[in-house]
Amino acid sequence: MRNVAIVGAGMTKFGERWDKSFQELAIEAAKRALEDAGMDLKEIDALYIGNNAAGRLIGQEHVAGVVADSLGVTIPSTRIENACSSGSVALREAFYAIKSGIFNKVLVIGVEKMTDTPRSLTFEMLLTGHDSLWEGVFGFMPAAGYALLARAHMCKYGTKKEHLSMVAVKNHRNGAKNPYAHFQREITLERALGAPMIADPLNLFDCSPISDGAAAVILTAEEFARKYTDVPVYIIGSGQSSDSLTVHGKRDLTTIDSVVTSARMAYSMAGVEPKDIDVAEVHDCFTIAEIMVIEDLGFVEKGKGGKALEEGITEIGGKIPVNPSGGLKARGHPVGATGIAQSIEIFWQLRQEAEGRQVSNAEIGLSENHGGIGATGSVMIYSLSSNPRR
Amino acid sequence: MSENNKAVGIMGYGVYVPWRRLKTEDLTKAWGVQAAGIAELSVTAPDEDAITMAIEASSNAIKHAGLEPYKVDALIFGAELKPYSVKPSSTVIAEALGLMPKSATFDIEFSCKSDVSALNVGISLVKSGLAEHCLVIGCGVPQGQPSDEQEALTSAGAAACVISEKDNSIAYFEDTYSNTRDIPDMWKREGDRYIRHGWRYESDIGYAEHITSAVREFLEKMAFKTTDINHVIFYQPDGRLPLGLGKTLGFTDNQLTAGLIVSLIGNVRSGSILLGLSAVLDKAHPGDRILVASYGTGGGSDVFSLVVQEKILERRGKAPTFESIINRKKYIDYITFLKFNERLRKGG
Amino acid sequence: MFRISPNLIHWRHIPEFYRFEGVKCTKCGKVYFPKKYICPKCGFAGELKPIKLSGLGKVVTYTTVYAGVPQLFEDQTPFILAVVELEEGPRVLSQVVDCNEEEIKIGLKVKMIIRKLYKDGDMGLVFYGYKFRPLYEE
Repeated sequence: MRNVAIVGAGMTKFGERWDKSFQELAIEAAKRALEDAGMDLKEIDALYIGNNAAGRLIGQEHVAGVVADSLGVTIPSTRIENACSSGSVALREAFYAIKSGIFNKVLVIGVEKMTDTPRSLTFEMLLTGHDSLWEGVFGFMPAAGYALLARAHMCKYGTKKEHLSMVAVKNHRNGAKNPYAHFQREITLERALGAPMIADPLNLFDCSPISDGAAAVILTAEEFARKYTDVPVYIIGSGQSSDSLTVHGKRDLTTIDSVVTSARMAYSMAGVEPKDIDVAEVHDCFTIAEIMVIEDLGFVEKGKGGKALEEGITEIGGKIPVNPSGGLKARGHPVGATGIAQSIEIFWQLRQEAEGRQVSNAEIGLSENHGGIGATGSVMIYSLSSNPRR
Repeated sequence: MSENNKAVGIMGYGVYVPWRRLKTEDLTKAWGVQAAGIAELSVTAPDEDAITMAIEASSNAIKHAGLEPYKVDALIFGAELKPYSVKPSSTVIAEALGLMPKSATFDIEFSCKSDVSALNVGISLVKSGLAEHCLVIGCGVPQGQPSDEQEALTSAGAAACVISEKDNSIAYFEDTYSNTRDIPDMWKREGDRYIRHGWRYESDIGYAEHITSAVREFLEKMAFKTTDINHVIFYQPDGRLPLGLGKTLGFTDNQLTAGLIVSLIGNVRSGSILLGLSAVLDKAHPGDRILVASYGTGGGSDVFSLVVQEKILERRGKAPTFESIINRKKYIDYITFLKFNERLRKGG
Repeated sequence: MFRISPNLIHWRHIPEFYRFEGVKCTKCGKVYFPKKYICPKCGFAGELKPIKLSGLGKVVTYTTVYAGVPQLFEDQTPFILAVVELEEGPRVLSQVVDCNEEEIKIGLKVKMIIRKLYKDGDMGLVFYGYKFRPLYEE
């Protein structure tokens, strides 16, 4: 099977975008990606769209149709929905479509418009990524789910509230240097620790925001990559896994099993190990998630996620920089767009285009995106070389 | 009750009183209302209602009776205020207890004596052989308008008992007497938020007159003297009126004490008699005679007498007692009470 | 989820919501709640028979929820959500009610009771189901 490269990327600024509609955001991201690649829309063979909930948020289903119509194209258009991991799974679908030879050049757009709806309805929508019958009816919502895991993690491994807030502080510091981030200002540890409580132990500053935004990448088969860029970034590994939709159905409350499994698949396909990763973007929808994920990806031992924050391992200058973009916490979380935005950050990092927050000598990167607290897990590994066996 | 019908009694009973309490002094501070003889009121949480309380009380009653739920073949739910105006609450309770599908259920309302009207019908079902084990439930929820005296008097709770034949029972029924009259003392139309009432006349032409005459008729019919009764349970609109009634009829305060639950948790209205009866049965001795005299606004009175049997001793302790349940409590403030009972809402 | 009528969705699961009925596999003996349609371990080789659970269990993890809930639950905040491990093995999620702040802890013994889950959705029905309270008797 042939290799697949990202040859162009573009995204809108994430945030409360009163100025732009769903369609306008998608088109802006697509336009920037095409400009970045120097490619004409006519050259694209197929469209893949990651979107979580346009039906509930803007009353519009058939998202694939909406985006194709907005772009004025008649090529195959497919929308993928895997809750918060819609973006990454859409990317994986596109990756396999090219790898298997069905398409040569594909445009992948992740897009979400969350602020056209009253906040209370957005909260209702967010919990449909979880089990609405066996969890939702009791007042469950995503922050509560992660709070349940946080308490279990704190109890079993001694993770402290300070570790959670340190994730927020680090990611805001990184986001302050990202012109596309929702929040571009730093916060102090005191401010993060003292924020209003949402679901104990998680407070407001442990939670990623509700954002609008779109992000797009263009994938081509290896043979076409150099036509569009001198520095293609290859997707060398991809893994996806499923697990219990409910928190109470999880095997272990301190591990996201689907992240472990999809990481293992991706590492195996790429022929690399956790220690080979130079930079990573992970799914910090809540601060505890980043702590658990860096353990489940194998960057640190299980239980040592909190300590990693203390030791600065995941800072931009550290051993394994995590979320140089600001992560979901600072960059924002327009749900369907997040997975693509993560891959774009890795794309920029590997090409030395992440000004102000550049990780030095990044050659192999990883993005991790999960949905429904791990009901879907998706991990992608990227490299400057199509075959980097070290 | 004619001699031909078989004798029936209470096989088991159970209660439920919510965890939270409001001190009536908070209402005095807010509005100046006085709640005669009542220090605190039991209050439902936002996720409780007549049905949830009834389920818990019934579950205790069935456990106390030592019965398998599927053996209960009739259920009568007596309550003034229910979640729906049209849709039986008794079916939800029957499903939750596991009585379905083979059971007959009824919702009955006679204002604040709904529980005793339910009891009346339950006794008849078992006596006539139409049911073998009939579950009778009474339940009340707070009813008063903010600033009104009723807000400082009415409270929440439920009690249930299983009616069965005399040989299975911890206490059997001797006889009953009822009177009825159309009285405008308390009422509530569909769409009214709170119960409405007249003024001073209500306790005179309603409560006092009907219970007094019903009890006198009953005692005469049975040829009882007041000293033949060990415990009396009157309907208790507040902590003072039942004591006055007792004096008028010639009972001593001692005869009323065990059943005077209003001073502990407030007036549970359509669950109050069954609750008071349960509190008395927790302490009664074999051979005790208990007199129950209910009053329902609108209005009318039923009087019953029961005699306690030896079986009460072997069943004692099989379900939590009234006292053990009310001893676990938590005080809330008036604002929380208003929010819980939907008197105050976000957005007005 | 509350913008479409969940009447029949909830109704089909009354044995679970009202009576805490799960299923037990006749082949491997494992108990599942909510009920499953095939045994995850034995596939179609196992037969799942209904079993009423005792409703007793202990808290495995918990959180107090203060904000960020859909409007239907706003008047319930703050409330405690917990993962409870039942005597028979399965874990469920629900609220722990009638519980003092000092009482809630990992390992707390709890008992199932029936409470209102929510009401006044578009159709105006009231939905009942299981919650837990601390076990203080016995």
